[in-house]
Amino acid sequence: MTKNWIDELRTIVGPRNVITGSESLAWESDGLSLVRGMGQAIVLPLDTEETVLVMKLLAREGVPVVPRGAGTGLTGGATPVEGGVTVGTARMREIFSIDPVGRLAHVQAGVVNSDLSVAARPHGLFYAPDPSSQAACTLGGNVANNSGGPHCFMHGSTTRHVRGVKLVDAQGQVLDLLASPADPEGLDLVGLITGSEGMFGMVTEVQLNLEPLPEEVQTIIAVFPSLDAACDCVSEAIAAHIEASAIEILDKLTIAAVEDSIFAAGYPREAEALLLVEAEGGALEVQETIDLVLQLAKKHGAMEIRSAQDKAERARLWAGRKGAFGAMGRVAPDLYVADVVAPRTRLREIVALAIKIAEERNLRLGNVFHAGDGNLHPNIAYDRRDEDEVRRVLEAGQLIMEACIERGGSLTGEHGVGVEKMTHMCDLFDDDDLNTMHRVRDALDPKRRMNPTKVLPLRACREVRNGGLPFSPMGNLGAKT
Amino acid sequence: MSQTNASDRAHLLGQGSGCALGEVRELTCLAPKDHGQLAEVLGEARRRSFSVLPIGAGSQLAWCRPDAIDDPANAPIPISLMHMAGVLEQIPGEGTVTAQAGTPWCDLAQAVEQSGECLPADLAGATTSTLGGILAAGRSGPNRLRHGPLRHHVLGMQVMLSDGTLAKSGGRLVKNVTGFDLHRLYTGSRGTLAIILEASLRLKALPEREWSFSMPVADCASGFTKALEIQQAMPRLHWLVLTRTQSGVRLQGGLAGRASQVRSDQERVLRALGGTPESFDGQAPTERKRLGEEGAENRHAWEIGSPLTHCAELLGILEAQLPTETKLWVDCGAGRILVGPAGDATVTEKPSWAETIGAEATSLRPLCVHRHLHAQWTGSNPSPTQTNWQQRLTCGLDPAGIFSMTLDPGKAPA
Ligand SMILES: Cc1cc2nc3c(=O)[nH]c(=O)nc-3n(C[C@H](O)[C@H](O)[C@H](O)COP(=O)(O)OP(=O)(O)OC[C@H]3O[C@@H](n4cnc5c(N)ncnc54)[C@H](O)[C@@H]3O)c2cc1C
Repeated sequence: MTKNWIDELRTIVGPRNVITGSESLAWESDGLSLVRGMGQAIVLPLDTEETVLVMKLLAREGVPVVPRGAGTGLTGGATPVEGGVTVGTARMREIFSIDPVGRLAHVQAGVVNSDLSVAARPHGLFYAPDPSSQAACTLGGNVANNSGGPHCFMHGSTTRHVRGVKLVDAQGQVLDLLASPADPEGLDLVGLITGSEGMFGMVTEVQLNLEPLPEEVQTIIAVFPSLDAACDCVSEAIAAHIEASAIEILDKLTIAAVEDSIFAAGYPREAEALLLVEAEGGALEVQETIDLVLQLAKKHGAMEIRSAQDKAERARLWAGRKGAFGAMGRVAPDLYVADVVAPRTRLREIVALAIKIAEERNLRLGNVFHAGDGNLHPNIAYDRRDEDEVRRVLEAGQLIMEACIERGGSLTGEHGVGVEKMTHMCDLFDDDDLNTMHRVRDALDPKRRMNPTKVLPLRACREVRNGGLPFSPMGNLGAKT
Repeated sequence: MSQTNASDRAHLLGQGSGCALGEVRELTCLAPKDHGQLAEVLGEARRRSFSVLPIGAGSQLAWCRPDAIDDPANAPIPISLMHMAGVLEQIPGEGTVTAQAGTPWCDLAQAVEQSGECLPADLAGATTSTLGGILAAGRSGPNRLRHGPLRHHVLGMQVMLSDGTLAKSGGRLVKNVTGFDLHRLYTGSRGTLAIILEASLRLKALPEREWSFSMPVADCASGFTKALEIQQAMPRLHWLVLTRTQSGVRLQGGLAGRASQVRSDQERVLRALGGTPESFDGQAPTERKRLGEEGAENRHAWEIGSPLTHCAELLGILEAQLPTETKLWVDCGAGRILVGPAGDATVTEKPSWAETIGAEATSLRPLCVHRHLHAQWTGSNPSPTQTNWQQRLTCGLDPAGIFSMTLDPGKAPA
């Protein structure tokens, strides 16, 4: 029986583009390697038309659908935890057009983030959201997760850059919102779809805003004797309404990992914390922004401040920052990347708490984060084969999330909820909030076949309190009762 | 549905719910003081199957007054959130503000200015409008050219659904992707899904200096082409507006930000403009506000959306078709064209020029929609799937259908 519809899938997309059996092992998790799952097949349609046929077939068979881009997500969002079929965008790689007048790009969902900026460059344009994974992650994945990145401090997360989408819904119907006016006609469905983590359908095409390349860019690093001092410097800069384009912090463990890796950027190893700030725009405003950073960095005890002298040095400084997660692979085989948001007035306090929580559990924690947005990434290096270490990692991750929420923070700033944080949705939202999200989901996908067991606990918070979620790597630890 | 008139039905709702009545722009409305009263009003409306229309100060109602619709017996009863006003949270150093829906936009602007910040949309004309009304109407200011539309700066919301459920989405911090962005759905939904109770916005730094220019251009089509050239020459422009009034066509624009940068950029803009534009320094904010008021939606009859690439062409078509006295107000950053009424005639039917703009426009929306216009509406209709999604969402969030007496096409369940 099963074989029949899988054969039909092969007929639609070609036999090589349906992956089953042991070959599908590479697809059993995303960047959250703690959560694994095997579906019945992985299918790779070429375009919207093939996706429609695939989705209609899966609707007929009542099979759950897990959309997938490059699988760089860090919350298990693209993992088929409940089986079903993974529909991937690996073959949807075409950049259809770049409109330099309207500053718009029309692309397929599987286009890799950084490829768009490369294609836009000859037109004097670039695509602003720059997740550190931008050399691999797809624009469809970015839309689904409303991804961020260092320069989202100035430019905002993906949602501010999505002008239109084409989506194939659970029934195989095409929702074409590509040629939309600047303001949506009727309800803002593009805004709803962005950040919905693949739960409303398969995004097959995206129309994105492009920005003019900045006239002037300056990048500096400031070396601090403590992480506290770097955090305080950022909080004060935010209070002074700094208009930088990126404000990042890296701590000592991360600096060492980067400097020992192929991403070595020349960061000073003696630094307890490094502040990486970039300003872009007109020459005069950029200079004023950098002057303000210099002044505040000195006030907060920076030991050394260095400016990137040329494009090559700037690129090196960013390669180090963007390679930081990968570089942590030198510390231990696995990395748990937390993603929480702290009020920007309480950065120092929450970062210090995260460190304490890790220390108490004898864990190695590195901090590299989008400080300007208060978006923390306490990264815990561990070895998945050590069961007790895994338990301590999960406990620490959970306590960090709770500490953040208790202090007015949020559960995720850019990586999404996925499977990882589903239980914790109840720490931030109540039954009515979550049931309202369910009502929206049920209106669009009544059979709940799109990316099941993600984001929303099935029966809101009752489920969490009454015995737990089947697939949360966190189990019910720490969930409020 | 009851056959009584709107005012009688408002009284019935008031009696049944214990909520006081008020008057907004000569309309009798319910004026709840808190969430409890609002929930009572909605409960009573559900019991009696009365349609309701959430409003703020009624500033967007000039062209779509419930009492102006064809079938007064089915006119929705306005519920004004005016009394649910006030800033709830503004922590210096966070760059955000959270306020109740009934807070007047200008009060909110004043409150945030005290900490050296400003609201992310320049709605200069919105002196009486409330935060909730502005968000529900999906409004943005001309400075979207620099900052993007207002909906991009909405961080979170609390709403009440028609069954009285209180529901939050998003949060109060600048960055957050937890759960679905339902606040994006409510923004611009014109009260058809839920009643916005409070909202959090991202703030911007108050500019040190503003500068603006105004220059005559031959016509709208060539003015728009000029606007694109100016944008190319100066990517930091905050706003760029083209107006056609009795006194001619003018291209106007402005810069804001660090004083030194604005001074240097204004020289560049003047060079790119050529000719002898008027230049405003100290007067720039006043000029901007005046222009904002001119561009208020309720002074216009139609809104046309166009891709920037087709906008000049479209304006050419419009200029050829429209009587010379018809006003145009064009937000050059968004390709958004407002067409003023010729005289003060109420819009009751599709204009003769609607067919001719065809492919160049992505949308054509009457700013005043009368019920009978829905039926004959064949403008830039959304696709069947889009309409279907909108209907499913409307029915999912408001199964009783009390918000469904929509004044916008494409939203009401069939
Ligand atoms: C080293 C590293 C650095 C990272 N840095 C950042 C960072 O700076 N900022 C940041 O925000 N994230 C970052 N991430 C996380 C991740 O890269 C982003 O979430 C990214 O957007 C995921 O894209 P993807 O193509 O890999 O999507 P996937 O991981 O394949 O999928 C992510 C989610 O999107 C859904 N999805 C994917 N494609 C579609 C589609 N076409 N239609 C509908 N749903 C779809 C999936 O179901 C899943 O829920 C990082 C990850 C790594 C490994």
